[in-house]
Amino acid sequence: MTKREQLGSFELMVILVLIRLGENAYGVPICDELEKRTGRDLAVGSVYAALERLEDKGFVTSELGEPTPERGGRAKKYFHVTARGLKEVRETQRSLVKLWQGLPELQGGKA
Amino acid sequence: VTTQPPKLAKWLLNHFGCSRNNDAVIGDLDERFQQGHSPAWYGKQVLVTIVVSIVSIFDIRTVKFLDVRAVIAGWVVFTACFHSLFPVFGRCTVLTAIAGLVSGLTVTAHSRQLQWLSLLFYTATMSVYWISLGLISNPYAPSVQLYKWIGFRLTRNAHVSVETLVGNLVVLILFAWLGGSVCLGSDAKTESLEHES
Repeated sequence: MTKREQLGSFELMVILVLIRLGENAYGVPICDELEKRTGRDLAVGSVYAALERLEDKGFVTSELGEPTPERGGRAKKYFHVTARGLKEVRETQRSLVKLWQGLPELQGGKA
Repeated sequence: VTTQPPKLAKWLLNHFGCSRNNDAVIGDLDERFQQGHSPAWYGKQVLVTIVVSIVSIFDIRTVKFLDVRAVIAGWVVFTACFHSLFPVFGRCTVLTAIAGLVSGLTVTAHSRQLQWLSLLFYTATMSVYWISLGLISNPYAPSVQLYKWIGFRLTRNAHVSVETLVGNLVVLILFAWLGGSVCLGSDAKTESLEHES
């Protein structure tokens, strides 16, 4: 059985945000969306660390965009989810749904 | 209202952030800062980013960014330089300084990415080697023969005081970084030139 690269929980959040953002997925909107959806303050460095891991696993690709004055002349780096990344997200979703089923403690939203 | 990010924090991230996307991270932080974040927020982001990027170096997937080839080149140049100049200068600080300067320059010139990390690794291995040689060169140590076998020409006058050993090591490291600083940051410069063009 070959070893399959898997998604960590933060990586899963990041890749879901990338899917949601589509073509406009670079650092700033990724962080904004993650903060909005999770309600947590995030460090840009941590998000990039996750993006780099995803890229190493082949789930994400990146390309340099245009530099802008508000970025001190630095280029944006856009991230896109690969077909392999999409497949992995679907498999993770399937696994999580299976694990979720039949757990009364997690029904109804009470701790 | 301050519109420029804190200079010190930016300088720190520029020099010590070792993510391969460091330039994009700085751009994103600048852009978010312009959206109304405080200098304290910027400073906190920079600290976390530097720590995360350093920790990720030790991730097995990113170890490949440590340029072993550059470190080996530094060692080869150091050994060649030291042994060829030893007959001219003898055991003196000038020799250590020259060997350090040239080998440091070699490491950063050969390193394709994270030059400072290669230089750090080179000086760390050099320090371990230097101290080991000094320790086993103690004339009373039974391992002196082994030292003479390992260190060959370096060992011909093995009676080195601790002061000389440490002093020469400091000179070696200082000059290695001085030599290395010639090429440090050249990647970033090339990249910004490419953007400009």
